[in-house]
Amino acid sequence: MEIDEVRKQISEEFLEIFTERNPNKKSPELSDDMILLASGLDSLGFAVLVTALEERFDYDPFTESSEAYYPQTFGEFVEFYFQNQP
Amino acid sequence: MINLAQILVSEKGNEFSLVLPESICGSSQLLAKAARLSASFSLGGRRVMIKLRHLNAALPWMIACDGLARSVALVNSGLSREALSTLSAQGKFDTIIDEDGPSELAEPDLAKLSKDRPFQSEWVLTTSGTTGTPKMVSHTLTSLTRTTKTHRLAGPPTVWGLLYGFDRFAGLQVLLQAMLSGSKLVDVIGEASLRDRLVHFSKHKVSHLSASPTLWRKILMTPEADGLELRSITLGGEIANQDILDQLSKRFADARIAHIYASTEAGVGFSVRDKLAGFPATYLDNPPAGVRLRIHENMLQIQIDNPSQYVGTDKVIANEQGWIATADLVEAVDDRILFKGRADTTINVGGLKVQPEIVESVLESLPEVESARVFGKANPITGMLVMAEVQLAGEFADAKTVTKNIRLQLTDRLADHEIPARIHIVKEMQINASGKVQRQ
Repeated sequence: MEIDEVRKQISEEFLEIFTERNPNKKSPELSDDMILLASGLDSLGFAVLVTALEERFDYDPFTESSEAYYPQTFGEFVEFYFQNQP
Repeated sequence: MINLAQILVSEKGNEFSLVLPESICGSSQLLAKAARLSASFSLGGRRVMIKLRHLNAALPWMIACDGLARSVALVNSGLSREALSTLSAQGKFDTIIDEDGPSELAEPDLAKLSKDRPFQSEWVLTTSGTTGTPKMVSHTLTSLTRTTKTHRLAGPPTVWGLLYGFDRFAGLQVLLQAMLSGSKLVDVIGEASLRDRLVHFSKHKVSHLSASPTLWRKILMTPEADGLELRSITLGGEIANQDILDQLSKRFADARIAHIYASTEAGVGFSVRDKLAGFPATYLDNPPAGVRLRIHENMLQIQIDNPSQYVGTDKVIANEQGWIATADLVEAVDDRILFKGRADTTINVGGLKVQPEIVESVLESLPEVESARVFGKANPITGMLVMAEVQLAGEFADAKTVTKNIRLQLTDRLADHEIPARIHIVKEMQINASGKVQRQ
């Protein structure tokens, strides 16, 4: 997958989960420098996102990558998924 | 026998202070507040429940009660009225101290009150809740401080940050540690985000921080953590895997890192300070002070002197020989014993426990669901997440809508971390040879 496709799919999943968990809030603007944990999605929501993406993409970069890494921004998150495609 | 007031009056304890965003509360202020509270309401011999959101309100009451009240239970401020009523009946509590102040729940039984004052108050803690009522565990200040380090290191002052609720075993450990060693404890009031907390911690030069592995992962993802200069890092409440230990070593190269094996029931079992996951196999023959460890059917068992009891139930914590069966699965790998997860069905989501059987029955109570299977799935963020497979009752046109409706109904009935992260619709449930739903 090209990075734009990765970004598109992650954005879709993110917004779906965000809306599910925060039905009364306006969804955030997903920019590369958006701080993930300031987006309104808490760490549980985030964990759900990772699981949903694993189902969508059939891989989990957190398991694939040899080093533990914790992305801080949306851009870093997308990059992490892009770089660790099996 | 020492109580909280005596700790604050002692040479070391005297230097304890609670640092909040707008104020600092020193030991003499806390003692003065406690004295005023004692004078305002007779605590002698009572069984008290303290249900307060913030430490700056609770601590003076805790100081006032310790050595006067027969027992003091710390309950979570978010506890439902129903659960509170069950706990107070189970533990025969006669007094509650909440946001409205102290009030009597029942006539206190002062007849058996000891003539010796001060005496050692019982401290009652609740275990992390599943749906329904938490269990209560009886402790004393002695059992709570069994492994607390009271010495102070030379060098810059020790400043503790509080991330856990003080009503939880882990939070109380941090509070008592700070009080006994005469350190500062930095806390916030109001609904502060993690980012705000970390900013507040950096400002007050927090050097010592204790959190669950999930919370540590979150901290590492928060830019405001860059302002922290930590000298001591503690992990507890969940399995600390090598990943998180390595990441913390890398980010906080000068910090000591310890992961603690503890539970509300057992208290602090032991700590591991070599920055490696699991614990040395040598602990089985040469255990740390105060515990004995053994492995039985791949599960860790721990023996401590004077194990605690549950309050208000006959369920036992330790067997007759004092061995506690922890239900933590372990595996010996080379010279190490590693933690593999739970042997019972409990799912640990970022330190919060979930009973899958309860989630299953909630799902099955919904009109859309015929049967449900709930299980844990490993997750890099929270350790585990709750997953569900459901067999629908009848035909439904759109899987997405049904799932959405199921989820909506669950938000009314379950806590956030108990709601399955994913709900998969299946045609048939996997059943094992004895006709039971397979959870693994």
